[in-house]
Amino acid sequence: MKEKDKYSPGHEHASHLDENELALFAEFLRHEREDLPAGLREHVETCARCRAEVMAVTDMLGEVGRQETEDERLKTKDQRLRRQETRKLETNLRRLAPVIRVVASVAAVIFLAWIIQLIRPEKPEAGDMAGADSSGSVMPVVEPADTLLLAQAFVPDSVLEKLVNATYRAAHDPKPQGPTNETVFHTGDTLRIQWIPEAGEEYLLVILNNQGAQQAKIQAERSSSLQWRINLEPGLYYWKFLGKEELWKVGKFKVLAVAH
Amino acid sequence: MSENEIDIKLLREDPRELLLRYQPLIRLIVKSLAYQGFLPKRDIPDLVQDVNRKLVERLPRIREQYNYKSRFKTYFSVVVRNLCMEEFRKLRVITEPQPEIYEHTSSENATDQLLIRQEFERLQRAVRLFYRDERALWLTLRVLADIDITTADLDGFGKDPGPTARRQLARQLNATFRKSRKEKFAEISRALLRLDERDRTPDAIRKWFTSRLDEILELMNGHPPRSAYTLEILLILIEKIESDKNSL
Repeated sequence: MKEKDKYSPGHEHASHLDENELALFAEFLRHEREDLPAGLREHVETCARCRAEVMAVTDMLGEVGRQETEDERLKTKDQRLRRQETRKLETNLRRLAPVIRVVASVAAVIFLAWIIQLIRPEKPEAGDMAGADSSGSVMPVVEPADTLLLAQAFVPDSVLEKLVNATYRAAHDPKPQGPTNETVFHTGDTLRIQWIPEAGEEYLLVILNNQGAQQAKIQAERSSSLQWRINLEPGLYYWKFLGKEELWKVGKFKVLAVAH
Repeated sequence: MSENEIDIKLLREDPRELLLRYQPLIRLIVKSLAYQGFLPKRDIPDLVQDVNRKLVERLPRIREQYNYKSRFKTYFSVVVRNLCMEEFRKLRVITEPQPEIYEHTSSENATDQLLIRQEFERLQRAVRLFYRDERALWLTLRVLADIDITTADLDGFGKDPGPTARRQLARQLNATFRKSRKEKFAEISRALLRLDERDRTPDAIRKWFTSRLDEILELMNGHPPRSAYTLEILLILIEKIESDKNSL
């Protein structure tokens, strides 16, 4: 058979394979189809130009197919990595779940306590008690309190806590000595404060409850110590020792009910 | 619904949507041709744009001319390739193959294996184009590469000399192992006389093979050239595939 164009039916360019035939032949060479019109094969057998075209098209399809597979593989790999990361995160969360549950429970209790504090009516201030050591003061009666309310009375005040043990710098320091922060009083006990007085200075002791509400204000002019008989309900309290313009010291103490 | 059915539905009802669907393929084809050395890499986005413009114009023709015999994706790929080739001819831009093509040859072992396999598949396709000469070409290539000939290699010719004669022919062809090309062609000539209708002298066989081989080399090397095959390299390729097959 001579090298001439023998295949004519089915394509309009008369001599060479058209796009449909090239596609068909390429699929045949790529084993994507079993059969091919014999006339088409005979034409390609005798036409060098069509052989080159078919080969080039098949090569291109192979290259594109490989690239598509590679892109797909990368996409799958990317998805797999993302899935792995999500799984790792889930595993970590599962491991931390007991801790998270405990933290959440504690947070819930604190939040509840805070809400109750907010809605509880504020108590009136105990009033000024200048010239302390009022031995004739009436002892408060400690009513049996609800456990939760009692617990609330011991919740520290975040603002006052920051002031406790803070260092105050000034030219003159009266070096006040009061109850330590771990001191536990019972109703009726006496609170004592001592300091080094400065001429012309005025000293003041203020007692605050754990919500920052003032409970007592004790003026101690021209003296180096004062005593105050505690008549407070069980709870956490703060004491502030102040000068005319200065805050010298903040401390805290607890008051417990008298055991019957 | 298969991918091809979706393509055909879109071709009939929403060709522009079809064009959108095929944007990644268009880019891949342009890139693949550019990497073959038809176009500098920097011009790829421009060519993609040009091809898209032409495709929009040609959509009615594509719908009219597609004969539904091949998959639409294959047909569309050929159309896109032809549009690119038109552009290349117009621009007369034929550059050297991109360095990436050469870089492939110095890759890792696994990749080498894959490339050898791919190149061998290309050789199979190139030989397959010669249709009725396919069996004779393979037989000649295998004999020249000193690959052991089995009776299966002597199947599928125009004449069937029978199993005994086939075994004998295989033995005679294997006896040319490490002999000169001249002796090999003489034995191939004798074998082909028994296997197909045509009576060809050893010299005629050599000429026939040489002309076919030249074209196979051209097909393998491509235009613009992507490889630099010679007969010796083709034989090494065949030998390599054969030894890999045997080592499995």
